[in-house]
Amino acid sequence: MHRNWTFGRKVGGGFAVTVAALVVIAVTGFRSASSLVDNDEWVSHTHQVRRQLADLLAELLNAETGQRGFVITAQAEFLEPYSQALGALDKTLAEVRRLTLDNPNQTRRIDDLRPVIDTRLAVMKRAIEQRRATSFEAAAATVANSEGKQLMDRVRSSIAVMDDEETSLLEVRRREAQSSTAATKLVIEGGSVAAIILTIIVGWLITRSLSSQIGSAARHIQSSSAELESAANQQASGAREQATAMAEIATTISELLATSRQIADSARRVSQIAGQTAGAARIGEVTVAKGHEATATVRRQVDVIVGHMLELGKKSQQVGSVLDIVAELAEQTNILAINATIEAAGAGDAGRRFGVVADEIRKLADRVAGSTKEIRGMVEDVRSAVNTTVMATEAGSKAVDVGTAQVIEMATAFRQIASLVGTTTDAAREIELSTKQQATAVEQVNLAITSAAGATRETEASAGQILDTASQLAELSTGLLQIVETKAT
Amino acid sequence: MFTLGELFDAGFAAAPLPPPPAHRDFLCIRIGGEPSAIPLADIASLHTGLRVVALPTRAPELLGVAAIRATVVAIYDLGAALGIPGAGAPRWTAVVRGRPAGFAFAGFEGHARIPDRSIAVATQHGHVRGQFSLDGQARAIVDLGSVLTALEHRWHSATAKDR
Repeated sequence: MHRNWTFGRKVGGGFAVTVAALVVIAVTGFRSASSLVDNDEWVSHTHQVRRQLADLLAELLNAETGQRGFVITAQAEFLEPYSQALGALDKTLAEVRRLTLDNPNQTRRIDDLRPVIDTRLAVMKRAIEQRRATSFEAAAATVANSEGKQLMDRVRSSIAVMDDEETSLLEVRRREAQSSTAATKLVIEGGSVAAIILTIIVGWLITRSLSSQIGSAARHIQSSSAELESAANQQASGAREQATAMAEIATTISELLATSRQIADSARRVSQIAGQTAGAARIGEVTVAKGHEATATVRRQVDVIVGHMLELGKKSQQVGSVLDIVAELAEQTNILAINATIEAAGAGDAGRRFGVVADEIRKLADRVAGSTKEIRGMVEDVRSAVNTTVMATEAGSKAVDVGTAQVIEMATAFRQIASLVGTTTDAAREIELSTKQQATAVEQVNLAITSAAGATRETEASAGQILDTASQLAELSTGLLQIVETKAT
Repeated sequence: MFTLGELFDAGFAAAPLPPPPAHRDFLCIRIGGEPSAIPLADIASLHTGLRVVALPTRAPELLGVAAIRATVVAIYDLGAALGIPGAGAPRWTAVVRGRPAGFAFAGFEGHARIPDRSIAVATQHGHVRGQFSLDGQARAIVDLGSVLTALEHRWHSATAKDR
């Protein structure tokens, strides 16, 4: 038997061989039994043919008996056997012919017998009618005629031939039945012995092969049980550690859940504050826009002031020009007065009054020169102040320009702040939503961790069960190995 | 505070003043930043903005000549004549009385009438005749005649050497 065959295949193969032998035996026995049954049927058939032939002869004899009785007595009740025989003869003849259809000789004989019987019946009928119509003597003469006897002899002879034929067939079939019975017996006995031997051989082969395989498997199971036991121990230890870790993870996740909720609350507050900040930024933007308009107004006013200051500077220059003229006039007057004083001094007493006038003129000129000098100083101060004012105004204008630019930048910054605050609001809302989702997810994770912890505990319990099972399996494999090795030895 | 017209009118409305005490009139000038004074009695006239025509000369003090009242007058730089450097561009010109010459100077501060008692007359020291104090500031009295004489003497000496 092939070594690589499986357990089922080997057992199946062994049973298949045994079943095949049984099938051969059964088929052979069935055929023998069928032949025996056929022979038995043919024997019965032969007995039936012989019985019908006997019935045919008996019916014919009954008809002859009834005919004779009626002829003798002329009483109608003696015709009853005759009448019954007339009714049964046709059926019996038909039955005999049906039963002998398989035998052409018998069929031909029954066909030959039919007119003889009909003739004999006709003779009987003629005697009966003679008895009825004429007298006893006529009828007795007819009965006493040898024709009837000859016909009956022929009938008996034919039936005897047919019975002999059937008897010889019965003998043949009996021998065939005996032969079939002997063959069947031989098949059953020989097949049973062969099947028993074959079954013993196959069983021995299967037992030897399976003992080897089961022994090997049992040893494998034994070693595997040891490994499984070790693995179960490790699994139990790992499950306990995992359960501890799961507990820590559950605690951490609970803390994480609380933190997520705090973050969600903070994000919601940030969102609210960002919304308030956005409102403040919009108000600031409006305020900056107003400031920008005010700055533009200041810029226009500064331009007007600068224009006025420049005009004032021009007027101051014009005043300076006039002062130059006045100063030159005063200077010339002073020179004139001095020269007049010189001339008056040169004129002696006559020029004294002229000298006085010259002095007064000179004093006036000095006064005008001094005033002119003061006015020039004032004009210079005014021009300096105008220049300073213009410069300061220009600086202020530049400062206003810078301030305007800064206001524009501030407006831009406020818009950016509003936009960024909007973005911050959206981000805070997204954070809030994400954190809520995260909290939900953490809750789910917590549930999953709890389930996992339960599964871990179940795993630990399962590991214990596996350990017990491995121990039992080891013991079972040991016992199985002992059984197999004991049987093998 | 009186207006100029009121002062002018007041000056002519007032009675004639008694003769002033003995005094002297001066032109207050600045030569190279130094406050100085020229006696008014030493000059014939005072001018400004004269057109001075330069002459080819070896005297550095001589600025040129100018026409004053139909008279050709030699114009000298007073600061250069006194040997004071950095006296500045002369604008004013004082014509020396009785002489066809004038001295130009840069700074003219005005007219001053100084009582004689306030004038400290010193012995001739160079071209300074004396000094007086005005507004707390001492002014040297420059003798233009002396300066002119010195220039003429130097001029003559140079001419004599050339000859």
